[in-house]
Amino acid sequence: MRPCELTFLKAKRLMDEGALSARELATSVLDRIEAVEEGLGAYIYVRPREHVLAEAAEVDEVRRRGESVGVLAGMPVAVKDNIVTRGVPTTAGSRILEGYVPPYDATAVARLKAAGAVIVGKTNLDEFGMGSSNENSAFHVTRNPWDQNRVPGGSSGGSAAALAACEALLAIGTDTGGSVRQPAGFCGIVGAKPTYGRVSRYGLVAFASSLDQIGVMARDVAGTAALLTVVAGRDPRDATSASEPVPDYLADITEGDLSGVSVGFVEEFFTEGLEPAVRDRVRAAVDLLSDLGASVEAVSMPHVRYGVPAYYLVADAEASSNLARYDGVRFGFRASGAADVRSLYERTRSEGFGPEVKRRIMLGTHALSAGYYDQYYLKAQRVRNLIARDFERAFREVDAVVGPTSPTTAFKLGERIDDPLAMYLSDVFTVPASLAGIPAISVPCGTDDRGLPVGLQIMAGRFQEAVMFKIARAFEEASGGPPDPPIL
Amino acid sequence: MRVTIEDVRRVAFLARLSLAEDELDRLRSELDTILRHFESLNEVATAETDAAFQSPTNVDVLRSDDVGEMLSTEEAMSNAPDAERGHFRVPGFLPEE
Repeated sequence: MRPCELTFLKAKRLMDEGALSARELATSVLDRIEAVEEGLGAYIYVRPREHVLAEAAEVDEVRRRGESVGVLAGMPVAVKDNIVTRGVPTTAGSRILEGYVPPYDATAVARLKAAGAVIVGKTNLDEFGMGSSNENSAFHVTRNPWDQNRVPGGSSGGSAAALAACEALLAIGTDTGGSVRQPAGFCGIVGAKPTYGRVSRYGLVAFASSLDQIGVMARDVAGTAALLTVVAGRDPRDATSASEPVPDYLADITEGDLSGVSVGFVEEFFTEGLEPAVRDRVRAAVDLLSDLGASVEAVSMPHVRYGVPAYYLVADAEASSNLARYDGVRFGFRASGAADVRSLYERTRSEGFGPEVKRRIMLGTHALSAGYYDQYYLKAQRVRNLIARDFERAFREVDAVVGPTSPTTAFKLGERIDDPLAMYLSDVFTVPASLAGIPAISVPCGTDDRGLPVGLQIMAGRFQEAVMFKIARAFEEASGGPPDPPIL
Repeated sequence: MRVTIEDVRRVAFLARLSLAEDELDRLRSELDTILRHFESLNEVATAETDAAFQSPTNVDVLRSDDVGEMLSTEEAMSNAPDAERGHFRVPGFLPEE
């Protein structure tokens, strides 16, 4: 097995024992990128080899001197390209930010570096995180490593594909309505969205500020737990970041037994539109949780079926306001030939934004405009509160609720790109947790008859990431460990 | 028809987007389809529900007014499409004659 194919936990063990150097691991990952990246398009930007190797060698040197190293020491990490990295281009998948070189690091990135992680590059995404297939990237499509005619999911599709293809050991993504969990499910890896406020949003390119959250991705549950331990916590630069203490999620993961844990099975997630193979794998997964000692009961959440309209109205309203900053004045693309400021704004935005971003800005502006605000935006916010209350009620009875991550496995490139509504409906099972601000994780739970991965979604109460990881890890162990990466 | 072409023009004006005729037509039909589907929200009784969504995190976050680390003017201006002596340069606010 090549080092790049290791899971986080195995690579960490080998490095701690001195059997694998950070430089060897980084070399293996960079070689892998050279071999497979052209066909996949997981990255927008790969850092120069000598920079990556120099940082890895530095970690080895610190270790050789016997000094203590961070929990992510020497781990090659991919960063979604809507998270700013000092001196490394950041585009958010948009022409309007092409050429932008941030003068500062996002807090999550600064914390990764402080923990010894080696950033490999910036991964592809749907423009500003708006999409569920990565086809809305202004630069290129990303292909699913399990079937290159299919999408990797989105919007963190580049991070998910990079992990499935062994082009990184860990990755960070962002999740506004499922953008970490859905691609994790489609690519057969693990992806977790923490509680809203658990991770600082400082340096995350804003899409919908009441929903956006940085998420963690890896081929094993342990990798996501380690990443979250590093990036979570209060940050004075983000007033919405939580002061809640950050436990050591990695140390807290216990294997095997789930006795004393109660799991709710969301009836409303097993309805029309759910592919039979997905339904069967998820039902089998729930049975396995029961075999592990968890008590399983059905819970009803009557409002989750309204998640998609509530989510898209709230998210797009916030996006229309957040994206007002792209005006061609202070950074990013500026259209040429404008005679006055007003036409500078209009031309820059019309030439710089792609079709989906324009659609979202239009929908959001409409939902906030005079005469429509009560009917659309306020109505959606009220329904959002009802969805949050459904979860609160459920978590008085059970520790976690489970269901499928997505109604289908990865769909074909081009299949939904001309039908925005069909694309939005693929988020039906991920948006409820986003609206409620609760943590949720997608873990691989087998494949359909075409060999495409299925994701099991585990959702827990606010700041209850520990129980979410515990269930995910027990399930991963009992189902034979992280799946082997696809052969490319 | 929920969304008219006039609606789309008005919203594009508010959003500072200049759209070609074919883009306006396509957006009208897409927004119409999407909003029609979203009317399912009207099935939900919300008369008793608060419209303010409470963030689960801190409220009333205050800090002391201390000078901390900050970007230099050069760093803050480093991505400017057009700048001069620490200022962003833009065309005139009124169209030139």
